[in-house]
Amino acid sequence: MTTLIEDRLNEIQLYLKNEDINRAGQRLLDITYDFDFDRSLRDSAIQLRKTYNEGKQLGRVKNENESLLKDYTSLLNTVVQNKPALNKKLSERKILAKINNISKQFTSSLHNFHFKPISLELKQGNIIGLVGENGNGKTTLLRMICGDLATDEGEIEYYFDGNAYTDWQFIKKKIAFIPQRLERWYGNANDKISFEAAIKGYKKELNEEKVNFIVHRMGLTNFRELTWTQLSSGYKLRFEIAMALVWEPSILILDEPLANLDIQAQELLLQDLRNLADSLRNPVSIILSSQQLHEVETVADQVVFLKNGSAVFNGNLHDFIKMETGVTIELNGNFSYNDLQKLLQNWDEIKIEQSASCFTISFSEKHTKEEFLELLIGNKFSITYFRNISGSTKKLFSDKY
Amino acid sequence: MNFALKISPPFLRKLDAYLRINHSWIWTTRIHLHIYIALLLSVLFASLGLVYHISINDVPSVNDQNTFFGLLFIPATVFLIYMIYQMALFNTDKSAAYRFRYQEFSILLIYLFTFFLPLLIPYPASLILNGRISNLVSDNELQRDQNSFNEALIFLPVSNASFYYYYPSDSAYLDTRQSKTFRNEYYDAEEAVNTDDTTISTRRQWALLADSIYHHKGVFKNTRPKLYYRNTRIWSKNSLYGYNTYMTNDLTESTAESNLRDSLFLLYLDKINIVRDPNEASKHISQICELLYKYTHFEGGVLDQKTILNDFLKHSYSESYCNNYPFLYNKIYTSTDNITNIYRAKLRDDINAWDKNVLFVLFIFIFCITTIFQIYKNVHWKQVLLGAAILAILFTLICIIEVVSNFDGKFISFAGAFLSLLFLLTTIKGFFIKKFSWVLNQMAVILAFCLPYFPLIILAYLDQHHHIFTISYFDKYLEPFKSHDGTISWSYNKEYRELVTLIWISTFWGGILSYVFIWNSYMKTLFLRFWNLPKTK
Repeated sequence: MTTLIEDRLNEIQLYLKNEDINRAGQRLLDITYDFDFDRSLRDSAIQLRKTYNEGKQLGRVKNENESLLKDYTSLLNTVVQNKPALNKKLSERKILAKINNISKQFTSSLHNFHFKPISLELKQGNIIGLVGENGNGKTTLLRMICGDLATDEGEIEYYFDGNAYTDWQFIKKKIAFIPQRLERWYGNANDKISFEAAIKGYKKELNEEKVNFIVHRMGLTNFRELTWTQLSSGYKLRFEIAMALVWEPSILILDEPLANLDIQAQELLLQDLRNLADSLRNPVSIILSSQQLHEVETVADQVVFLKNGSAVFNGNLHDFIKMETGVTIELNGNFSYNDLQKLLQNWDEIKIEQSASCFTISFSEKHTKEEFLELLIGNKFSITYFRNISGSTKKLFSDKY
Repeated sequence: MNFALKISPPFLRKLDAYLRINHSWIWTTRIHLHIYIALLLSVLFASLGLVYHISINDVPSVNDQNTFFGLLFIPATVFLIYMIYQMALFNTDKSAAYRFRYQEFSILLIYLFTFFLPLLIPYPASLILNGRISNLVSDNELQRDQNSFNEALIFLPVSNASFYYYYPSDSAYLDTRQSKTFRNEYYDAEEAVNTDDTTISTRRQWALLADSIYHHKGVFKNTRPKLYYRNTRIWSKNSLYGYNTYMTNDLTESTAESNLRDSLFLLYLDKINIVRDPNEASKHISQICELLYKYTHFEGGVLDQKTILNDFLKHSYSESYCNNYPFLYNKIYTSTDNITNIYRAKLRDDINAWDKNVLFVLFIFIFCITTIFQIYKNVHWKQVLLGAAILAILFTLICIIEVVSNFDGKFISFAGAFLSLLFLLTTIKGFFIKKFSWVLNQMAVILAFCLPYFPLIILAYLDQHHHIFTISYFDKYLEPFKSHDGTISWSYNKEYRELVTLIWISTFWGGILSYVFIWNSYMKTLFLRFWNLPKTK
């Protein structure tokens, strides 16, 4: 049986084999910090990561990539050689917050909204994805968890360092909340991160090292001298996360972090979040809200689906798949709603919904997705998009739920 | 602050980085950059003070200097606004976790200093300009010129009522007491426009003296001298130049010395006005011509000193030489203005002579700004505005009740003390609540406005309602006072009044210091708690 460090090293070796320098660099940097390698190794990892990031901006040629690959391989070997001193084990994931039946009611002459009771547990290293349509209470829940909004009923218990805390001043230092609309900051990004690190207590050389680690780790090397107005929305968010990470929060809360990111940036961010949660040094509990269901589901350990202020689903995806017996398919092609209805009229519990981009078809477990696909092909339906969302909470958007 | 850093020398950038990393609580105040910009502006302004055109013929007046100072205040005010903006931008206290608490005392002092900076910026320019004016003429030379000018001005017969008034020789005499007397109809016509008390009193005196014009004796007996009315504006202590000491006083002499010298000088003028010694007159006319050449742009040619002398000796002012030179009147004014302006510049050179009350008012102004900024730093800006509005409404209501009910000032002190105490005690609840309360938060904002003056409010209450300054302890300061009708009453002596003033001043400063040392940190802790509590909406 391999140890944790060996797992990580294997993971990096695999990245290097696939010439994925980015991932390899990130994970190697993580490993040097997670396992408390000595300063020279950490510096080397930072330096290589810096070289990689800088090269990305300039447009790296193949030879340079090969050289970087060699350097990384060499560094990895050094890390492997030092392995015996790094026999760190994954400790038990502790509960950081217990949310017990919290609810909230907003009353006004124009609009009433009742966020119904919900219970959750935030654990170290866990990612909770909060999904649901707009106006269903995602932000309300996040604000209550981070202590920005008081609950009407129920309570939230916070446990940090094994102790229960009720002092909001302390609790808020342990929680990083990144709202959808980011608050503007001034000066350049590097100075801002360095300032945050200084307030946290990182002075002198430690400050520089911390800032370098965060900046290079988050792929911000080439943007560190930029100001708020010069940064794109995606990089503003990354810097915001970087600033939050300097504080080494126990709980990281992100409200719609994927909203302004392209597909690649979304994947990169989600992967970073996963790595943060898996960190050994500071395994953060992450809770994020998003509309990007598929992307969130890939990294989340637990999904909470909110509808009209109540959680219609609250658990992990495996439970959801087990719970849901029917089949739900997203489909599009050169056919109409009527064509589908005619074709499937004899199927049990058939339900066809049409949205702007596709049809969502649900049917009972008596039929399989393969059977459905064969039927379409047999009737010469030209398919341009097909996705089985039976195991995804996306089906909860359907009116059926 | 990119702009400030861009124009900063390398050492300042290093300092900025050093402070950011090692003393971030100082870094957020931006004091290092503000001092730098203030220095830059001071140097720039000082150079303006250096290039400002001045000459002995064209000396900027005090008003000119004040205008110059005022104009420099515009960029200084812009700088103040810029500083406040920067301090607000880099204020970390609005973020829940990024707050400093223990450095609050030092931060308050830094803010006080910071807000002083823009007000100090125009001073170097003003001082330099003033110094340049002051150094146009040495002290001794100016004194000499002043004296020469005063002594000689009487010999320059400008027939303008503003300077001299000529009384026809057959209308003016000297009585036995050497007082001037005039015919009734004369002063009636000339003085009718003046209705102030002095004139009325003078009229009465002159009316009485009018009857005695034929009774003159003494040194001028049987000579019927021609007398000239000296317009007091030229040399009087109440001259239009505004300075009591102008023209006759030495820069360093005491008031008693100057009074004595003034009286001797008056006698001297009386004498030379009546005893018309051609040699004396010639010497003085020569003196004043030189002074006019020196202190004005004299482009009207050379003054004909002989004609002036003849005019003086003949008393022919209505047809005098000077009438042919209308510019002379302006030249005299210009030269007296220039001498006055140099004299004033010399007085302003002495910083010890500056009005200390100005500094006090300045401090209070700065302290108020600092207090407001300290509050703003800890709460939402809307809450600061709301707090100020509530405070204004409360104060207005209290004043209305006071005036309508005629409480003789007692209600204001009572309401002030009561509300301050009420807010102070109520806001303690803030340490125990679980949810944010905007009422308590708003009370805390108002309390923070009032706390520096809290001891003063309490003292006012004790004075108004409990007459604390008339308790038996102060009886030792009572002294008997005998009135005109012989009755004896007791009143507090000067020492008592000084003591009471001292108590008020000490209480005021005690309030300021208690805010700096105690309340500021207390309010910070309270605001920190409020800020971190979950809100209801």
